[in-house]
Formats: sequence, structure tokens, C-alpha cells
Amino acid sequence: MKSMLALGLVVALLAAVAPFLSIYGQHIFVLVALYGAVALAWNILGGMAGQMSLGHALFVGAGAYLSTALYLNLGLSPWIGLVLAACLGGALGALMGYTVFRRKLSGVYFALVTLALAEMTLHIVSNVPALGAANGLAIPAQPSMANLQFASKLGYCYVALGVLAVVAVAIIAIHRSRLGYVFLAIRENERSAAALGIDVVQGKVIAAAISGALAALVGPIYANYVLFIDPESVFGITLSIDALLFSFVGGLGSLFGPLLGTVVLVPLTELLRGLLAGRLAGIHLIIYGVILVLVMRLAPRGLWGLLSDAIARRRA
Amino acid sequence: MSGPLLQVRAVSRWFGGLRAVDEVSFDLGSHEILGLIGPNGAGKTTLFETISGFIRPTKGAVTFDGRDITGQPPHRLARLGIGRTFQIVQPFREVSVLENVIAGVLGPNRPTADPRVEAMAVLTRVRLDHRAGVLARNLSLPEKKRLEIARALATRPRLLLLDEVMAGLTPAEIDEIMVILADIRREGVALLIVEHVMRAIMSLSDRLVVMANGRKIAEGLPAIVAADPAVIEAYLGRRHHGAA
Repeated sequence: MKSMLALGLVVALLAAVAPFLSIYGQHIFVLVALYGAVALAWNILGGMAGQMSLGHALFVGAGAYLSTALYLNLGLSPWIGLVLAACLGGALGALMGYTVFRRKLSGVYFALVTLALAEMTLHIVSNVPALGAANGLAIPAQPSMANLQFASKLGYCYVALGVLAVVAVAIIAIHRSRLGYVFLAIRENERSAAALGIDVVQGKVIAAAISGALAALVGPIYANYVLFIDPESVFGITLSIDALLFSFVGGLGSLFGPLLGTVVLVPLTELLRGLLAGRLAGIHLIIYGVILVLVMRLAPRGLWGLLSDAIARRRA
Repeated sequence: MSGPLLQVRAVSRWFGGLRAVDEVSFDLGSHEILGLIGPNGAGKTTLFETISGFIRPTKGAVTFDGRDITGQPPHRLARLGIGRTFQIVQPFREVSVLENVIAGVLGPNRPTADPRVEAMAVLTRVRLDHRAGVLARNLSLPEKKRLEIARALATRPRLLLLDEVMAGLTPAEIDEIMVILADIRREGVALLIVEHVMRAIMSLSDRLVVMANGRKIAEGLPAIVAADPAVIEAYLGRRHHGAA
């Protein structure tokens, strides 16, 4: 109960701050919330259950394309699209998990399969005219609640924050239930887990399904924020790597470390890009890389580990 | 009590041409401590893995509580009431001792009132309650061995398979484990113990099964089995037996 209360307070605080941010600040707010939600969803499978995915863009992209295609072709509200996106993401996650884990393949094999599936989908969608092929889909701007479109960025701040909160609630609920211990046991030692009565394959499939469903929630929101999606932006490897990277930098073992990683890295990227724009092309990527190496070298348990160590030391 | 709790019937396991376990049969009663001994390479661990579901037998059958469990996966056996420990301890290293045991309480997916309280009670039984908050990787070896037992106990087994829980321990630490195991049996759990520490297995076991080269070569009361010429030969070799 305490963690749910803390979560509620943080969300309320963020919601209260959002109106006072500049337009640019609100843009960063939306990005952080959306990327944070993807990273946290990734962490359910990658961090909590210990199965590294290199293809979480698959879920985001599937969600974005599903809701957008339904909206453009059938006029279906993206809110319904959001629910359907989660269902599709869950089904894809379960299918992906089942095909790989049933064969007792894990670790690097799972990572490669997820990578291959995301890339495959990218190329398939790039060749389907009904989905805009490589040109992508543009959503006409018609701000209304039913269309999940807002005239100001503030509306998007709240929707993005809402998705982030949903993911966070799911994580706390899992952590407190039997499922949390199932994931923990699978991550730590599969043989021991099985000896304790835990169905390891089933546990991994559930982790992949939940992780996929929650990541897919971000797709429709992103699509309606940018009002344009193309295969590279939502199915691309960059997004998959980002989810993993934010989690690593934030702290894999922790529940909310990935969010911390996002809070630090997303604004940093934006800032560097802005500061160095037009001077040396691509130098912001080099600086970004150096920061990543430093964090991994100096804080192998991530920023969250660094923070909790510091708190422990102060208390001692 | 009707019939034995565990029946092993002509179980064999071959690895290519090697008969690691060859037509081994024995029964285990529901309150019994059965010691499984034999020289290195006798096939004890393979048999053990077969009973706990981690290796499928090539031939033969295993029944538990009258039910055929041959070839069932480990998690299902654990839910039926067969707990096990690992010879090389396999704790959940990066989480606390208490969380290790809670995972054991919740593992079989049966209703529990309060997993935390139940886990603490199990830790008390193996005298590890004072270490509940410590990360499992920071335990000493004897503590890790007891955590291994606690985690298996937390699943509420009716049969506990213990694979060399005393290996590498000092005599005093072995005494401590022996007391714990005797307590566990008193609470109604049957034990199948693979062990090399003879002093312990001789005094704990109600009966012994002796294996050599994949086969069962003797079975019976510890004192009688220890005097069996076939057993002495298996451990010490033919010449020594001839001289004795």
C-alpha cells in the first residue's frame, strides 16, 4: 500500500508541475514519460524476469500502427485502439515467448529472435501499401478528446503520464504478488525455480506477454502526439536499443531504475542535440556514448544502485 | 499408511553407451530416512536427478504416493510434494535469504495465509532466521547449505531429496545439519539422502541403498550393509577385501 501511495503522490506532483513548464519543457515531459513507460515495460521482461529483448520496438510499432490504421480506415477512436494495442502487444509477446522459451532457448538466442522479429516486421510494414509502406501514415490534426488529440502539449503530458502510471502500477502489483517471486526465481536460477514448483516456461511467457502489452500502450499515444508514424520511427532498432539502454543506465535489478535512466538520458540527448546542432554533426552521439561507458564503468548497478548505495551510506 | 511413498522400479538411464543407472529398484516409506551411498561415479546423482524430474529415465518407472510420475517435469513433482536440494548450492544470489524462502513458499502455487510469516518459520527451523535480511550470496557455505534445505522445506514437501548437503562442512557443522534433518523427519517428511559423510549417513538412515557402476549392489540396515563383502569390495577394491 505504501508504494502505491508514493506512486500516487509522485504522479499528482508531476501533473501539478506540467502546466507551468514551457512548451519545450512539456515536449521533454512527454518524451520522458513515453520512453520511460517503454523502458519500464522492457524491464519487466528484461530486468525482473531476466530475459533480454532486443526488439521491444515490435510492440510499440504494432500498437501505433494498429490504432492508427483503425482510426484512419474505420474511424475507430484511438482510445479503443489503445485497448486493442495492449491486447495485440500481449498476444505478440506471448507468441514470441512461447516459440522461443518452449525450446529452452534463452539468453542470447532470445535476444536475437526478438531483434529478428522486430526487423522483419519493419520490412514487412515498409512494403504494405495499406499501411503507407515506407512513407508511413499521417494522422490529420483534429484535436478532440475522442481522437486522443490535443490542441496544447499539456493534454499529451497528462495522457503520457497516465500510461506511465499504468505501467508503474502493474510493476508494483507484480512485485507484490506470487508472479514477482516467479520472475525473481527465473531470473536468478532456473533450475532452483523449477525445483520449487515454478513452471519456468510459463513464467517467461507471462513476463513477455505483460511486457509486450504495456509497451504496446505507448504506440498509439506516440502516434497521436507526433501525428505521423513510419516504420523506422516505431519499429526501428534505435527504439529497442533505447529501452534496453535506459534500463541498463538506470539499473537493471531495480523496479524503477529504468525510469531514472530515462529521466537523465532523454533530456541529455535533447540538450546535446540542441547545443551542438550545426557545429560538428554527430558529436552529440559521441558524447552520449562516452557518458554511457562512464556510467557502466563507474556504476555497474546503474544510477539506481548508485543512489541507493549513497542513501544506505548516509543512514549508516 | 498404505504402501510406500516412493517406488523406484527398474529405473535405467543411459548416456550413449554408458549405463549411468542400470535397473535400480527400491521403495521408500512415508516416514523413512533412506541413505543412498556408493563410490564416485556409481550413478547416485543421475538416479537422484531422475527421481526429481531433471533427467528422464531411459527405462523403468517411478511412482509417488501411488501415482506414476515417470518423466514428469520438476515443477510438477515439486507441486506433488517432492522437494530437492542441489549438490552445488543454487541460491537466488542477488536477493535476501528471506526472499529465497518466500519464493519456496509461493513456488507450488497453493493458498498461503502469509508467505512472509511462513518463510520466517521455515528459517527458524533450519536456524537461519537471524540471517533473514542478508543477501544470499553473502552467506557462508554451511549457511548456504541450510538455505538450500529451507527453500526446499518451504514448498511443504512430503519427500525431501538431499544431494550431499554435508559435503565440505566441518564436523560441528555436520552435527548441526543432522539435528535439523532429524527434526524434519519427526515432522513427517520422508528423506532420501545422497551423502559421502559416512558417520552422518550411518547414524541418520533407517536403511541404506548402495550403488556401484550404475547398479544397486546392496540394500538394508546400515550396520548389515556396512559389513556386506560386496559393499566393502566396491569401496576398497578386491585385494583389500581378500586381505581382510
